[in-house]
Amino acid sequence: MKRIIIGIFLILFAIIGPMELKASADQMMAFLPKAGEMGDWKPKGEPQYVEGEDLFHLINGGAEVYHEYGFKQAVTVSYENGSQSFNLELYQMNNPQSAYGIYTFKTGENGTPVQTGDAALLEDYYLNVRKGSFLITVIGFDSKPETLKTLREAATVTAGKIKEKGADPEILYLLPTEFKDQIIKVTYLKGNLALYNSYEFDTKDLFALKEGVYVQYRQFRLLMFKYDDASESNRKFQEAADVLSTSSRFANFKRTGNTISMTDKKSHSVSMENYKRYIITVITEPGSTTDRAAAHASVIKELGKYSF
Amino acid sequence: MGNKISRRTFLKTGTAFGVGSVIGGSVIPDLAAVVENPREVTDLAIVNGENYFENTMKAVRMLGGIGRFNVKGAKVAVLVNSSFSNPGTIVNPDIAIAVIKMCFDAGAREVTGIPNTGERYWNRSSLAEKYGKELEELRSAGPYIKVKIPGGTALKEAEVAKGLLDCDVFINIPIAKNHAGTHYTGVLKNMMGACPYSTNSYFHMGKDGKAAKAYEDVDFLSQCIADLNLLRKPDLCVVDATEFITTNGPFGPGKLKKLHNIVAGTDRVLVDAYCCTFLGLEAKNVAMITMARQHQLGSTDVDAAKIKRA
Repeated sequence: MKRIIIGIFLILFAIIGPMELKASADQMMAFLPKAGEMGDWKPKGEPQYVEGEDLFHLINGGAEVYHEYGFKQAVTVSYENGSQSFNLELYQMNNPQSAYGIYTFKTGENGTPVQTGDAALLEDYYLNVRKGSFLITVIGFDSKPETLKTLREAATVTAGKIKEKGADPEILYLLPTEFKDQIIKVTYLKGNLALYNSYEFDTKDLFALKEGVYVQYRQFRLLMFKYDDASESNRKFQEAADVLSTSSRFANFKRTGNTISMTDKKSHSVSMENYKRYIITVITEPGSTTDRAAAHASVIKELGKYSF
Repeated sequence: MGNKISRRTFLKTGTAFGVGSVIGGSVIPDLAAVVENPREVTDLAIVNGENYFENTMKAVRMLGGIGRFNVKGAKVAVLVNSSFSNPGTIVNPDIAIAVIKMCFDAGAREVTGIPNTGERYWNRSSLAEKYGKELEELRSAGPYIKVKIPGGTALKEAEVAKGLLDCDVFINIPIAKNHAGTHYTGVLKNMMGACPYSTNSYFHMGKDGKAAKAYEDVDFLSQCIADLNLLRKPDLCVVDATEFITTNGPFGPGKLKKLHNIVAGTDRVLVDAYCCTFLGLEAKNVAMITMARQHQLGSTDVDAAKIKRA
């Protein structure tokens, strides 16, 4: 009897497992613009669907950063209207915060905000949109006005089908309010790869970063790394400081207790501090009118308002 | 005056040329070039302009011509970065077509395209129809063969396309662009295009071979790339530095930089050391370039290089 029950479970699992998978793939396909929804544009060829580690087959080394942020599945498809074409990529991340993260990684400082989804930015010949746990990327092959208009339309149609709501990572609420009007760009970090592409301390994962934020203000830059508790952040801080103290990438290294300061190869002034379960780094440009120490102190003061 | 050479010089040069041919991957200019310019060696040829097909041919001529690379009667493999579709992420097919045409015109016995590239790529070029015959004659890359990598630090073995292992002449044709993992991808990293997913995913998984949690061990990836390049030296590198992404590489979409440059050379490390500067980088800060130099695969001394521009 026991064997029969186990057998039934295995059979059910074998049926339901793939069915769940197919439902997810079908749902992804359902979000894509269909023939007739965008004038004379229609899908060209079959969409390509991948999930999990198979994203590598689709975008090779580009897959790593998606996995770092937390990737679930993706579908890509080309559209044509007889004379032109564009590509649409739809990525589902693990959650809205992951989608926020990959969106901030992929978008630049410039570009034109577009009113669609939770946030959208049009840059040159492509448009990124985040909606819920999804990232939509629409790519044209030129920057002509009619092409950009098509990209907006495709993004709006796709985002309109996604009902899930977005959510910002909680760490953003810890950013100092004093400088909020000076923000140029925020990049949410979920690992060393995103950090390495934001500010390069080292090729190695010095900080064992799991969550953080990189903010570019008009006069300085801020990095905030979050850990499970203060002892973990202190340990990572000390380990990183040991490496940075002898790194050829930095000069004028000074260390006092739980703070360090140094200069990078581009003569940026860098200060780093372990504060409770955070590692805070402030970077100022040479000749900046902002006093780095003052900016650093403001960030710490702001964090001090929160109990954690 | 200037062009006449002595019999002794002629014999010396001819012998050296013959020895170079036997060794393969000739580093000696063809005889005509030697006779005309006995002291001139070009390390890097850079051609600027928007006629990428013609400029590719010009760049190779500036190195001494395709004949320098013993293409006549040879099995040639061309490794072309052609897998993606977003602007600035793949080699402009006009460049690859120019190289393939030069090889056939020079009497190549066969030309293999790696990876296997279909019409979708070639049809992006307005020249695809005109050179359709040459493209149709391209051989398949063949199956992947597992090979050991003697001297590999992180990579001890790899699966590599048979077409690369079998060829007499190897021409590496990458695009210089941004890469999230290594910051730059060019000649050295393009070798991954000759390997399957099973090999390439190992490069990305880090030292412990664990999936999912640690993306990415840049040093490990860079060392694997340097190690992979121990397998086979390209006889010629032709780099697409015409229009390329400077962010969100390798797949894009990203910010496009349009320099309209074709860069050709025979020292893959030198070529990458030069081309990474297009991304605002210095070779000493690109780990795979320094690791390749440590393997003695080439030089990073761009200042000492003989550079010809057109």
